[in-house]
Amino acid sequence: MVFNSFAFLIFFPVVTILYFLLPHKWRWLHLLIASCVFYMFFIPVYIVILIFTIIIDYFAGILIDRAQGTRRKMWLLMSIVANVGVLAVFKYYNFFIMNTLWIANLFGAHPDLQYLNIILPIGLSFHTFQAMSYTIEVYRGNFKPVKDFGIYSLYVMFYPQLVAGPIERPQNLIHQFYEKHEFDYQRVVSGLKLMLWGLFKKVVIADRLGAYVANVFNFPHQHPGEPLTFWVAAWFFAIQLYCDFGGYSDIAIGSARVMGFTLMTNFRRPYLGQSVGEVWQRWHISLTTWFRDYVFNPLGGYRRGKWRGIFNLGVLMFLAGLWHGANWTYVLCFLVFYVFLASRLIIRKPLQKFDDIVYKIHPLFGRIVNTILAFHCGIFSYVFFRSGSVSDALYYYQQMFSFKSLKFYEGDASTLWYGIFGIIVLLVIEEWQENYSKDKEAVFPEPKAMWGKFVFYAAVITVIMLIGVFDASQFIYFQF
Amino acid sequence: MQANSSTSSSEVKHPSRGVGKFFRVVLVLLVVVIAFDQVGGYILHHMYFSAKSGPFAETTFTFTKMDQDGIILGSSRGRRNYNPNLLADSLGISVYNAGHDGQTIFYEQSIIRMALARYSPKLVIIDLNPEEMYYREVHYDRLNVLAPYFKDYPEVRSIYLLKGIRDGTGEGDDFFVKPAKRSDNSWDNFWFRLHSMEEWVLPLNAERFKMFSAVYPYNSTVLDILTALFKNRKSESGFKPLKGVITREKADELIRENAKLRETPGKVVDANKLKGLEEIISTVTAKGGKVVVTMSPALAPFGMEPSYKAVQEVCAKYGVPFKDYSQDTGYARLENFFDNHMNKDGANLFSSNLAHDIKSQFFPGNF
Repeated sequence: MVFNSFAFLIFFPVVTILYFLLPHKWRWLHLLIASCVFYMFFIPVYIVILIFTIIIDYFAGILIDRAQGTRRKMWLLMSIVANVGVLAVFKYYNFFIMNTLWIANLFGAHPDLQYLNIILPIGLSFHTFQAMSYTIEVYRGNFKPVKDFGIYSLYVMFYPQLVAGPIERPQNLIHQFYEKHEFDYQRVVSGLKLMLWGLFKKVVIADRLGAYVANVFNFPHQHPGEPLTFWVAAWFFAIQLYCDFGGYSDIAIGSARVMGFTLMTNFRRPYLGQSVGEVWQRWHISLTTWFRDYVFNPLGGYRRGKWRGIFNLGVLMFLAGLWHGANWTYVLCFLVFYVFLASRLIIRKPLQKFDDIVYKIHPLFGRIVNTILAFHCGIFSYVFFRSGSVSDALYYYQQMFSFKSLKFYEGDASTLWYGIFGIIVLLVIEEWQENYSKDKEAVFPEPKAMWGKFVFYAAVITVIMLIGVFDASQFIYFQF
Repeated sequence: MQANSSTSSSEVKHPSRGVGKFFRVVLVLLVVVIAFDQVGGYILHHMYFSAKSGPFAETTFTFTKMDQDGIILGSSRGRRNYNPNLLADSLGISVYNAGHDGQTIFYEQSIIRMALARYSPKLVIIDLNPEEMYYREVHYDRLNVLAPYFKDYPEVRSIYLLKGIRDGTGEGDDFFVKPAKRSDNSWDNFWFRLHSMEEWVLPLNAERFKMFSAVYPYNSTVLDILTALFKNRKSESGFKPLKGVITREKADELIRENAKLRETPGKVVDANKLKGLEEIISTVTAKGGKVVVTMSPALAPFGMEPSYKAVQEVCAKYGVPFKDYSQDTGYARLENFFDNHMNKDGANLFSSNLAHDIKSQFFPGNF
């Protein structure tokens, strides 16, 4: 089920009302059943894979806790192999075969390797990583394994974050299933406002810009000699990607908040970051911190010197790219971003000088310049992310810099203008949230008077109905 | 300390804080939203239907006022490749080009339903591209062009509601079947045969409910409605010729892209589209009209697969003439094309030849 579907419009209130009506002892079961239904709205049979990993990790957690010495490591390894094995089969097998065949062909060999004709289960990388964080935390002694199989299942399957995160940690989520959440007006309203903003980002901004982006990125060769078209599509894709995934996260966090659960923040207005490092720290926080905690820090982080730190960062970025998809374009996307991140560490002094100069002119000027530069570092990497192949991406880069004419593909004019309207709203709201809002949890700059609030929210809903894209499109990150 | 204890004791006494207030607020918000919706919908309805020019005015004309003897149906290719004036002069009847950019047989089916409720056209030319009968989700999305007519014109309702079952969910209709999503003989289809839970847990057609809103039928049209107020592009015959000639480089790129599209796997013939084609042919001929199915010239060759054969079979079943000009190499010269659509000169050449074929081959002695 997707959050922007009519089915969810029915599912969410029904599940939430039942949640509050049921006695506390049955709520976990209610949420578990609801989560199963939510997941099975996609392809029901894939729940078998989830059940498989749930069983493995549930017992792995208990066995790790009971074992001593090397046996602890063995059980952890078993859990990781099972989880990564599922990923390897469903996500990376065909990628592996494709690359093997390519290398074999280079040497004149033609091995008879068959591709698997299967669809990637939705959100596989998300719930696999969440499950892995459980066994790793138990192994590290940071978390005692849960005895209730149902609660553990719910930890993996909790519907708001099941298919696209935020990738939770057991310390943050599991205890919440044991707590009794009462109906709290302020919290419920705050959750609903966040959901509304998430929906706005998805259907008004992301899906609208997506139409233009698809026309350019899917058919780049149809726009030769139109650099402006390639730039606009790249800008739009950066916003689309954020609003699609950030919108999903807002709805996920908001729907959990309505029921009294606190999920971790996944995006903190990344495009208002004033350096490439800040953008990285504000982007898909649950994944970047996962890699930080379970890959980067165990490798030594920055503790073993600058160059070792840069190498470790490279490993993290390579894996983060691979996590996104079985395609070199994702790996290259993250490697391009890595180049920017690493450059910032290597040429720190000249960059600091540059910062001093632009901020000296005017703090606001400095902020704008740095924000734009950081945003464009993202754009350069996203070209790989969105392109169908490495060759398409290279062609895209080439076209971006072939300043031959000012010809510009307008596409459907309304798409362009609704998209621009959405971007302006995004900019205003996020700038307000970042720098002007006194309440850090506030979503909209709403009027103070009650009647003003009614008018404001009725207007937001009407705008969504009027210019939102209602084709129940999937979220980009569902494929990962 | 005292304050804290009193707060916590009130929490214990009233564990569900603000339920009543919440539902009161929701109720008031609902009333305000409905008021916004109804007022907004009323204004948009008025502006939409009072447009004098632009695409909405043309659609409204086609649906509600068109009374020409001959009707040309089609997508953008229908709209650009057929000059109705040349056909009218040659055939001696009035002709209107009702082609619409981006639309498919569903839109054309709506036109015919609306037209037949008013009068009986003498000739209907249906332009199809050879791949038109394949299922494509986007063709269902584009049914939103019918949304403004949903409330006032019952003829289009069941066609519009196809939008809600395009992805195989929601209930169908007596007339329509659910579109098949995947081709047989694949593992993909194995998973899909297990069916999404949505089909039996929530067998609703969401579009039916969305249409309760007065604003939603005008979704994504506000800007066009406003610009139509300031534009004065009127086409008496519906014909929108393209000016300019495609370059060799662009033509090669187009041919390459089309070849790539032809290789798209998993294409299936859409039963809804075939039923739509059958309905147009059967209802027009039942009222004494003549139908010709054509595929107008194309620079980049299309596929010749099941979709093409399906059209041939329907035409043969109802005994209506079918001619494929897209394979006619006589037209395949750059100077006849703007892109994969013909330019004005190409359209004039083709329309003259088509008129000749209608008189001499398809219906000799009738025109």
